[in-house]
Amino acid sequence: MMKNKVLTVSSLAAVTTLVLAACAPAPTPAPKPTDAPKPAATAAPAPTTAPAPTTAPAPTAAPKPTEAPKPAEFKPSKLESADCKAGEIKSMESVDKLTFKFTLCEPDPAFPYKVTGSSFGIHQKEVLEKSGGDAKKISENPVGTGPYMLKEWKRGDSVNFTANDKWWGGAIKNKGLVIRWSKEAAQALLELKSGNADAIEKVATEDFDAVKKDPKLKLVPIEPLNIFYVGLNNTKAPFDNEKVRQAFAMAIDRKKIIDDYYPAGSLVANSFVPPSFVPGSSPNVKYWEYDPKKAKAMLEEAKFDFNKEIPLGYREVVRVYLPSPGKVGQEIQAQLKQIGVKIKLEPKESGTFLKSAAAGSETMTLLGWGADYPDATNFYDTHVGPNKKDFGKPWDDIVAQMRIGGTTSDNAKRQAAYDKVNELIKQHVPMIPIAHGFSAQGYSAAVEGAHANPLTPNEYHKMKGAKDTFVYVQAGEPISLDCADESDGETFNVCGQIYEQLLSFKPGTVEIAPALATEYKGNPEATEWVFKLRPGVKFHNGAELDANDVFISFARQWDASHPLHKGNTGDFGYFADYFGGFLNAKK
Amino acid sequence: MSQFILRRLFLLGFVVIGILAVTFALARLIPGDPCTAMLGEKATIEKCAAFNERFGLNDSIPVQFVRYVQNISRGDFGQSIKDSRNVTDIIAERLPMTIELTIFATLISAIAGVALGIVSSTRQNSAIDVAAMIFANAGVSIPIFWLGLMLAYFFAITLAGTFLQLPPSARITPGADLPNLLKLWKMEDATGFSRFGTIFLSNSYMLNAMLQGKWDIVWDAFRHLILPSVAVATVSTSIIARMTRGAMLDVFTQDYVRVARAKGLSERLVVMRHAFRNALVPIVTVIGLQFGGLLGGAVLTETTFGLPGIGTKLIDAISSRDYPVVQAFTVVIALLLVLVNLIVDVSYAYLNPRIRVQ
Repeated sequence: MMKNKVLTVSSLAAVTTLVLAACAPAPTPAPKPTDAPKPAATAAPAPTTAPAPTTAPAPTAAPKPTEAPKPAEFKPSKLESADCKAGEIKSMESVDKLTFKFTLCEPDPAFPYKVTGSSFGIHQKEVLEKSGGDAKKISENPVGTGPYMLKEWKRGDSVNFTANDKWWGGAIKNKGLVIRWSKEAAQALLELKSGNADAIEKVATEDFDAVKKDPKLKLVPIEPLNIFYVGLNNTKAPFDNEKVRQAFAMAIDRKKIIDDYYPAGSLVANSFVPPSFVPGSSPNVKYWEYDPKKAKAMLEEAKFDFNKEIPLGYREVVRVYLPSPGKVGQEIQAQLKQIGVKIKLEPKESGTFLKSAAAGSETMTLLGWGADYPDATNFYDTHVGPNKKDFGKPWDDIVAQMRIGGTTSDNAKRQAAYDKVNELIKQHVPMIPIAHGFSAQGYSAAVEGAHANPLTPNEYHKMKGAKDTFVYVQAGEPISLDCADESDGETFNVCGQIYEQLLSFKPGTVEIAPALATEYKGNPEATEWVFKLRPGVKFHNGAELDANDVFISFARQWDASHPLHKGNTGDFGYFADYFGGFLNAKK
Repeated sequence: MSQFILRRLFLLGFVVIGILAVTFALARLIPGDPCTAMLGEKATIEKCAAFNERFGLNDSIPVQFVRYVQNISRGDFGQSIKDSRNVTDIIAERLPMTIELTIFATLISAIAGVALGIVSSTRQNSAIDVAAMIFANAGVSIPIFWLGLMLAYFFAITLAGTFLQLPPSARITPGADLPNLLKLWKMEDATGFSRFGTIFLSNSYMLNAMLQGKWDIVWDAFRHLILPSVAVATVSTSIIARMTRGAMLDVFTQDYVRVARAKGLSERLVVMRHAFRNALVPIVTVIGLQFGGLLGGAVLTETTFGLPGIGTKLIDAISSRDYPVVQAFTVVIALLLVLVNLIVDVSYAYLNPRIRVQ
């Protein structure tokens, strides 16, 4: 039996190995190429590659520093739509080396907001041409003007950046950036708590209090720029009756929904757009108050059939605007039951539901929208526009006022138009605005400069974590690094470190700030927008930014016949959404 | 033997065609489509019509299937709908992580499970036996994702700052400098097997680091594997331990074991040479099955620990309805399972000469 001890010892060997294996410290990340003092932006040398590690072969993953320099002579470029049938843009042109001009077919006061979009980052002309506009090739060697240069995209694991020591915007607070991803909020929080990450994008609403109470962590709030609504289809009974729709608006206790199912900081919606959207939001147009008795009386008056079940379609997809779809659906079902209305909950697969809702096939829906840019057009035009079927047949009076609001440059006149839109939405009830959902990102308390931008990628170059390399965990892996043809926030967040737009927002706000353009000017009709470019800005490959880089970055998107109009899927969806269509589009 | 192996490999072809047909049909039968899955709220009828046209999704399903099989027969798994990349590249990137995890987990579960089983069987009904079997039952019952989170919390947060601290996630420490071999060896334009092999090697982080002589990263990659391997090995360890115990107890009742003891052989020789060798066939079967199961079942562990393996990619591909990736990954997992089963079958003949392959 003594010899059996050998077996006992061997059985414990594996466990002992595990414990011993834990004893060594993790390796320190390799030094990044920005140890040297930061030179002035105008006199920056070509970027250096990372110093070779002690024994290994020198890595070649750092961006290629040498590309052909730009020709000295500047040749203006122009692209024009002869008949104004290619969306709202009439022409785009590089007027001189540092001036770029858009001419529109119709007024667009939101135009400066639109060019802040992550899809409109400026690429270097020669590099873009060399890639053939192919997102795969662009992703291998992305060249922008941003604060970080791509070091390596470890597929499935992380995107690694080195600081751009030639960046025009001043000192970068860290030597490198790593963006990782995790779909699981609990796992991301573990990364933050363990110090593996400096910041995480996704904090589950139920973890907000835990993060707030942890002295080693902090919660950075994001302004709620979204809307959750209950859609009512006016082509489907019983919502073909306006009185019924109004009664439903009065029968839903919106405050109770926010109190019970949304994190603190969320707002009861009064208008369809967030309250900070001015013009757009109308605090003076008070939405229907919760009044179940009056709602029931109105339904009886409208000869509403209380025996008939009304299908309520939704998808079990968590969004900031709707953190608990199933529970909120049940709550609305319970509230309507109090006045005798029978609701049948119909959870559906996400894609099927979205398609069905967009086609106007759903009777009653739980849906929402998150802002792309901070202007009312981003909400009204995409939901109650003349071609939208989400709520059934569009209302001509809403469309007319919405059009005035979206094409007038005078803010007072815009607000007056949107006040009418909100009055009409209250009257017609195409949807019942419920909530503006609050969200937040989690940061280590040690991070300096922590902020969370509501619409654009975070500016990690303004943040300093515990280590030289800043580590951020977002919710998913980027799709490509050609954001002209992408639409998801995770991809935009990565692109935002490499590319820059003409304009941006001040950190944590939706207040426009200069970026590659130092100034911009629109004519009184809001049909001409001229951008003055920042002089001396260098791309990662050393080439200097000029207006033809801006031209090629926009022209390849607008012109569907352009040889660089390739991208990933070829959709270029944001361009089409923002500017109304493509030049030379296939019929 | 060689005929047996060839016949099994020949039959593998039919298995692959069957799997292709089933996954192709299943992927399209589930609700939703790539366009709405990718564009979400921004998907419009017009956009989706153009999207489907571009990817040939407007064609009838039989037409799509024939086209797909034609491409597969040329060794072309197609391109991902989501990011337009070659699916073969994606397989080469993701497979190493899952294989590493599976090998480590199998090693842990085989060593620990067999050792626990032997100890339990030699001390039947003792305190050690009872404790081992309680562990075995608990191991089978604990959900892996819960165990994974608990392990990560304990070793990464509770033990933070001690020498026992282990990383809670990722394959290597974020920012660790381990260049891609495709770039390092200037093989970005390589095609075919050399491309596949180089990407595979590059994403086998431990091997990659060894090739580059970066021993600190080898150790770092090993440390990152510990918690996920232990989490994923727990169930297998329990099953192997129970199977080993049962098989050993069964063998202990055989006459030849009694004879061996009567001859005065040491207990060690009796247990290891006479009993364990004869109990190995069912144990190897279970280990083989567990290895196959771990390959396909590492999804939860990879998700819990944020590891870039085939499990996380498959989940992502299913949720974005990326049909080519779903189909290719399913085929790869199935092929690996069949291959492991073949190896197990062949190993029987070596373990017990009385077994001859028919």
